This record gives sequence, structure tokens and C-alpha cells, in this order.
Amino acid sequence: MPSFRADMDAEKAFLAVFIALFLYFGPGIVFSHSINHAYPWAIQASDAFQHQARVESIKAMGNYYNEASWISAGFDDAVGFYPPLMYHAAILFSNLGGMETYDGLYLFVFLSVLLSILLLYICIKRFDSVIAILSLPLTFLLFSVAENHVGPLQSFTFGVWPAFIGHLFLIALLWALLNIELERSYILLALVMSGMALGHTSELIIGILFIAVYLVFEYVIRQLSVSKLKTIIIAGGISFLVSLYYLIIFKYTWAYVQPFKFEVQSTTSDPTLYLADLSILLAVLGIGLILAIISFAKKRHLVLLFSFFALLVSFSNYIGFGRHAFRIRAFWPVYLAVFFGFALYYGGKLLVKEWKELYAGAASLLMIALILAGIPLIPQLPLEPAGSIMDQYHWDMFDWIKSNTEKEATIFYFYGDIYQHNALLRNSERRNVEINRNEYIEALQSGNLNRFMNATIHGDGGGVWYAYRDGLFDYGYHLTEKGRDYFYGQKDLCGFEYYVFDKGTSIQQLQPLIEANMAIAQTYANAGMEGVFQNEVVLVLKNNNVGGDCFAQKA
Amino acid sequence: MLGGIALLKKLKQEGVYLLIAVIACIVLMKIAFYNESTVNVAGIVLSFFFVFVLPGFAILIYWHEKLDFLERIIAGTVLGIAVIGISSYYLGILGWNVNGQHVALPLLVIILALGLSWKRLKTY
Repeated sequence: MPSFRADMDAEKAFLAVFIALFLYFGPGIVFSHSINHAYPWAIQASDAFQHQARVESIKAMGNYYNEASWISAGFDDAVGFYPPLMYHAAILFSNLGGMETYDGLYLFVFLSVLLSILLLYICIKRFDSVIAILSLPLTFLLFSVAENHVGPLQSFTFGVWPAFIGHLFLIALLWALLNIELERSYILLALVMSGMALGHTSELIIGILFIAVYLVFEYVIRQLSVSKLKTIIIAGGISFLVSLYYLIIFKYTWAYVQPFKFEVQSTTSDPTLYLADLSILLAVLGIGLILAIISFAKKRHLVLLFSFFALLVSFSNYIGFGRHAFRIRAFWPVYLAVFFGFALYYGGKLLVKEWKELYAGAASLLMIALILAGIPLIPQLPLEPAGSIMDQYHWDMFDWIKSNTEKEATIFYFYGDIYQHNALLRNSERRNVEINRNEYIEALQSGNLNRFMNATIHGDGGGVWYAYRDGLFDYGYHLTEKGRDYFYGQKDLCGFEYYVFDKGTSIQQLQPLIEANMAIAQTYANAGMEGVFQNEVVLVLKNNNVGGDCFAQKA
Repeated sequence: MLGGIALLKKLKQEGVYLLIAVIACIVLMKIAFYNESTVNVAGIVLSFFFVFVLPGFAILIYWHEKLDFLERIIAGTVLGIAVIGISSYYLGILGWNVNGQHVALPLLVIILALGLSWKRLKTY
């Protein structure tokens, strides 16, 4: 019978140290060694605010049947289209843990990544326990940055969070297939596949591809049995039923608006890793890969097949998988860890006659120390807090708006540095409209600022066009029905209930925009608008005469 | 009878291991998040265990003879995330407010998982 010894053996001790280091140098540093923050912390792109605002909206609404109106440009019937698993899991975690959803979700993502690594470790251990230990140092490169593009660390700070949940379940798929001979293993497989479908659906497609590869592999090595096929079919059936409701939404939203199209893409603006980033590690991983291939020829283990598969899929941008392939590359430090383990294992054989777990643990910690020390010719870890786009002043403003304005009110934003990451505006929990930045600048330069100007009704519409349900299989799309002009066209600058003016900028050249903000605020005040909130950086005016001539008495 | 005693012994033993795992996680999290109060860290770790680890561990207890403790606690947590996340989504749509689920839902999953494994556990 398998046992767990309470007395810490070398493996458990090593894992404890590894987890401590991972938490300290990963989320610990990113979060400035605090879990709870006064406002969304370490968020550096609009995408991350998208998730932060959505998780809070689901908490506020109590369910994710529909998107919140403040996420959907004011529409209250837009369907909840994003894979929901991550949000719901994070709400339960943060509610019980007494955290704000923005902290709870972010921590949940980091812990999911740690779980991915530990689960892959368990899988590699089935192949070789020493190689499993030696594989782990590479995973620290998840916190590395790249020189000329956004690197793996930005997968966290830019908010590629659902992809991490997809990776978690993709690795769990490997684990479930390793256990396919267990009695009733279809339950495990079904849970994992459902997790992929509702965690990050694009990984389900990769997962199904891997199952196909697995079946071919089993057939080739003459291990494919009827019972294995039966297990996969039953699991597929269960997970299909479990996921069906969301898969219908997926079909009429993501799959409809963003269908697969063949497009060879050699670079991306998403966080990723390129081969060149790996520098000297490329040679190490290359040697590890060759050794793994040699080993696979003798000992056809599924773990190795999985890593070969992940490596191939990460280059599928050349056959049309686009950004999904690049996201797999951002997770190379995990998917390719076994090759690193192979290289160290056989490299160490030159020094150590026979590897033991104790030696492997020591070697692994040494490698982690070298990575953290920032030795040249490997991707570097910044080892400093990530900071945040949000600040206390704006957060207080959003908090005031959601607590003090009418639910149907629209908030209009003049220029502000942070509003280009427009998903953060959703924290007002109101409909948000922002002045067209370029037109604002042109109007100021030409002295033609007037009452009617182009402005954007913000929301999460680019992805699925504000899809709404008329029936289970009958969908409409507000974006196409209303037309582009409704969202981006001319608006009456006197036609909104509240106006937000930033009083400062961190970009010296943009100071004239702030001066214009203040002049317009004065004009509005002259027209009778009242100041209802302000602090050092932001001013909010209330318009008591919506549609009146607020430009009559220019300041 | 003998099976019952062996099961009880194993459950007790694994209860101790779980406790060790909780304490270890609190210590490791406190090291990483040293600016956070120990009470907060402990609360957050316990919440993670209650919401994801225990439900997943309960699901995998059915295979306790085949999978060792470490594997069950790690893989079980992943399964716990799947079960809790998915069921919370559907139950929310069916009318059970997500804000009322954080204690009852994990408890329900634990009870259901143990209940479904009971027949097998009895024969251990």
C-alpha cells in the first residue's frame, strides 16, 4: 500500500523549500509580500482589469447568467460569455478568505499555476523521481521578462489568467490519462475535460488533440484496449453533458465572432517566449530534448509524449493557432521542464555515479539559486514589485461613483492617463463613455472644441459583439444591430449625468490636455454643474440639466 | 470488522497528514507574504483547503489504495477546483446566489463524495 511518511524525507523537504521559494519570488514579489491590497494591485493591462471587474460583477449579481450592464456598454441582456470556472472558484475562495475579489482571484491564479507545476511533477515522477526533481528549477522562468517583447511575467500582470487555468487542466488531462487503468477513471477524465471546457475552452481543443495523439500512441505500442476506449468515450459523454450549456454559449459567441481562420503568425503582442529568449538554455533544453527522444525510443512513457506534444503545439502559430500557440510558449518553463530535468540528470552523471533524491534536491536548489541570481545568458527575473496602473485616488473615485450615483447614470470621462486601459472603467459599475482621445487633441490644437464630438461607449464588445439570447439557440448581437456609430460616433457632451476630469498627468507633454480638462470643468460649472466628488487627482461633476447647453459660457 | 479498524486507522493517519499540510502551507505562505498578518494568512490558507483541497481529497478517497497521499492532495485539489467552479456556475444560474455558496457548496461536495465512496471504503 502506498504510504506517506510523516517524517520529512528528502523529497518532501525539497518540495517544501521549492514551494516557499516559488511563492516568495513569484506572487510574493509581485504582490509586494501582501495578500490584501487597498485597490487592484500588480495589474498592468486592460485585460487584467477585464477579469478583475468581471469577477466583482458576478459577485455583485450573484450569478453569471448575463454580463453586468457596466461590462456591456449598458446592455443588461448581454450573455455571460467568458469561461466561468475561474471566476466562480475565485469568488468562493475570496468570500471565505475575507479577501476582495481582485486579491482573491489573482492569488487563485498564482496558486493554480503552482498546482500545475506540482501536478506535472507528480506525472514526471511516474517516469523518474530524480528527473522530476531536476525539472522544477526551469519553472521559475515563469517570472522572467523578455528584452524586446512582453515575457512570461506579463502573463500574470497583463491578465492572461484564464489561459493558466487551461494549462492546469491540460496537465490534469495528462495525469488522468496516466491513471486511465484505475477503476471508474472516466470520472477523473470527465472532471478534467469539463474543467477545460469551462476553464479556458481553447485548451479543450488542444486537450482533444492530445487524446487523439494518446490513442494513436497506445495503438502503436499495442496498449490500446477496449476498456480504455470505453473510458474515454464515457468521459467525453459526461463532460459534454456537463459543459453543454456553456458550449452552446461558446458556439454563439466566441466561435461565431472569432471563428478559426488559417493565419500564419510569427510574432505576437501577447506575453510569450521566443527561442531566442532562452539563449544558453536553448542548448540545455535541446540536449534534454534529444536525450528525452532517445529515452522515449526505449521507454515509451506518456509524460514524454505530452512534452513533445506541448512543444509541437507551441509552434502551431504556423498552422493557424495564433495567440493560443504563443500562450503555450509563455508556459514553456513548465511544459518543457522535463527536458531541463533530462539535461541535468545526464549532465550530472558525469559527476555523480548514481543520482539520489537528496542530490537531485540539492542540485535543483542550486539551479534555482543561479536563476534567481540572474546569471547572464538566461531570461532574467526582475525581482521587484510589479506596481499597478490603478491608484488609491482613482479607486476612491470609482468607489464613490458606484456607491453614490444612480444605477442608470452614464459617466463621461475626459482625458486621463489610465483610461486607455479602458476595462478599468468598469469599476464604476455604471455605463462609461470616454472622449475620443485623438479628436480631443485635434480639437484643442485647432480651437474647435465643441458640444458634439466623437466619444466611445466602452464595454467588452470587441470579443463577442455584445451577444444576447433570444432563445437557447437563437442569438442576436447588439454591436452589429446598433452599428459602429452608436458606440464610437458623435455624442452630445452635455448629454450625460456625470463627468470625470483628471487633474494631473504623469506625461509632461500631455499637460495641455489636463489644462483643457480643467477649462471644460470650469465651463460646466459655469453652466450649473455641481462638484460632487474630488481628491488630489480627479474631479467629478454632476449634470443637473442633461441635454441643456453646458457650453454656453466658455471658461 | 478488521477492515473498519484499518480504515479508521488510515483516516486518522491521513487526518494528521492533512493537518501537517495545512500548517506547512500557512508557514510557507507567511514567508512569502510576510507583510500580511498571520491571522489573515491562516484564514486564507484554511479557506483554500476548505473550498478546494478537501472536496478534491474527498473525491479521490475512492482511489485511496491506488494513489498515495501526496498525489491525492495535489491532483485532488485540481479536481476540487473543477467541481467547485463548475457547480457554483450552474447553481448560480439556477438561483443559488454565489455569495451563499462558500461554506455550503464545498461541504455538500465533501459529503457527496464521501457518501459515494462509502461502499468502497467499507470494504477496505
